[in-house]
Amino acid sequence: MAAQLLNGLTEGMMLFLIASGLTLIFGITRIVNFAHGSLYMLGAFLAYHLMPMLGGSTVASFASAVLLSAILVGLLGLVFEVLILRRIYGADDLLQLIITLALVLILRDVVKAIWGANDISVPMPASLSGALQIGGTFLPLFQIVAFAVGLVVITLMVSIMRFTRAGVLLRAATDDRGMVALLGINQAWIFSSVFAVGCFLAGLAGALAAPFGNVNYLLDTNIIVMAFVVVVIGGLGSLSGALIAALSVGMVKGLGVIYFPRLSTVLIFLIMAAVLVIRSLGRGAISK
Amino acid sequence: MSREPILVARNVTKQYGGFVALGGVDLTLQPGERRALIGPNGAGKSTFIAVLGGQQAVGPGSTVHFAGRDISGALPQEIARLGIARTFQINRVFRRLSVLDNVRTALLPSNGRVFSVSERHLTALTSPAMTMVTGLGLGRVAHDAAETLSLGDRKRLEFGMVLATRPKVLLLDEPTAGMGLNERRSLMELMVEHAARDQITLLFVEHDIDIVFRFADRITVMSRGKIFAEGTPAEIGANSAVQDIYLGTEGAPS
Repeated sequence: MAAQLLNGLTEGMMLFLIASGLTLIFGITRIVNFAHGSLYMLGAFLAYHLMPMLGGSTVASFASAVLLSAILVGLLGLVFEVLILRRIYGADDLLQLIITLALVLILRDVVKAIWGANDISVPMPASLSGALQIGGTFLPLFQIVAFAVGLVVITLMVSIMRFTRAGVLLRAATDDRGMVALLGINQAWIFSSVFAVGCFLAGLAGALAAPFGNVNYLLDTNIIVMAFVVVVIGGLGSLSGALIAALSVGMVKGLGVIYFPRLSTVLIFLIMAAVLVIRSLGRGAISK
Repeated sequence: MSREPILVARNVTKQYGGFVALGGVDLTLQPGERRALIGPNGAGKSTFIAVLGGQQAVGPGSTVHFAGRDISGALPQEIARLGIARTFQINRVFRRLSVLDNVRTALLPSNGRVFSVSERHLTALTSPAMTMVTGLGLGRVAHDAAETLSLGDRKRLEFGMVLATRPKVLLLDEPTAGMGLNERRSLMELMVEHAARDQITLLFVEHDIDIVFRFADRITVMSRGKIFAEGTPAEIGANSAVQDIYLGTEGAPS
């Protein structure tokens, strides 16, 4: 039970890392980045590739591989934003959708060409593969560490959002980006950095979560669907909403495996449907 | 007066399909003046303001010079950075941010390091922002979300925010629309007082004739996309043709 709980929390945390980038990017640039799952996948493959080069399965090499993968994915996002997305901010939603979808297909083929179509597995750092005994139950150490990393990221995010100029600016831009331009602030800067940071988070989540399961070139679509579910439940553009939604979805999946194994995935979509219905009722009630 | 005009618009045109919204508007603003732009609905007042602010592109043959510099075709953020700020008919503030954060955001561009992640840089803005918030009469709601404010307070906040960008020219599109009589006057007093203090040139679109005659140095009357008349409040008040198209039977207040 406690192990399943931790399972759910960790999965929720990884979902938050990817969904937070997705929701942040949408909130400010209004781009629905379908390639976000692909960037997550790329993070996992990069970690797989970099770990042996950085010294095998020690904690230090894993940590640096994860960080480096996330930075590389962030840089890729930056290049994509500057070269392509920047030209289409004013364009039709459909065009934006097609362009990010094109990135999905390109990245999938690139990954297949470099690493092949078979499952790969990223080893856990040897010293983190054990378990921690807490009150008679054994909890996998690596999950606890991954969860803790997520907490660190959240703390960083909250502090930046609340206590820095960049944070105030991001909150303002999420509220009304046109007004930000009217105040004479250069939007190009905001958009590029937000997109890069969002991609960095996706790469971080992908690399960090890689040891949990099999990694293959189909990971992109699996994860993007869950990320969208989280973003929709939490409310588009809302970071706190994404956190609550991600942890809830993770818990439902984690605990669902015990109590209703065949329904756990369906249940998540039912929750999403219910949230959408309730939200639409609320809006209707207000407009009456 | 030998002073150089701060804003010169020449032959400004704007068409939407076959509809001529602006049919060659000329307007010259002297630094520090308070100009009212009046005229019946559909005269092109808001379109003209949008052209000056860069929200609308000008038609061919039009020029707009600001402080001697050609700004026709510049983007809104470029125009804002040069020193022309504007407010909207529909009040525009960051609704979910606190009053203090609204003002702090507005202070960012004039205080360097816009995108800093250092806590020190943000706290450095807090005391100038609080001074502004208090000066606007919003001290008691400084930490409330802007969306919870009354319309009058939101308009004060919006005005304070454009003021924080240190504009030289301020375009106000119906600043007092939707407000009660007393509130209108006190808002205009606040605006005029701050504009005079910071030597800001005002161009305001206004329907309340009482406000217009009380606060404007000069009045420009527009009708059907053209300038119909221009002069001091006394001249405009005495112009019977203006009364016919705009003031109607109400007549002009003395």
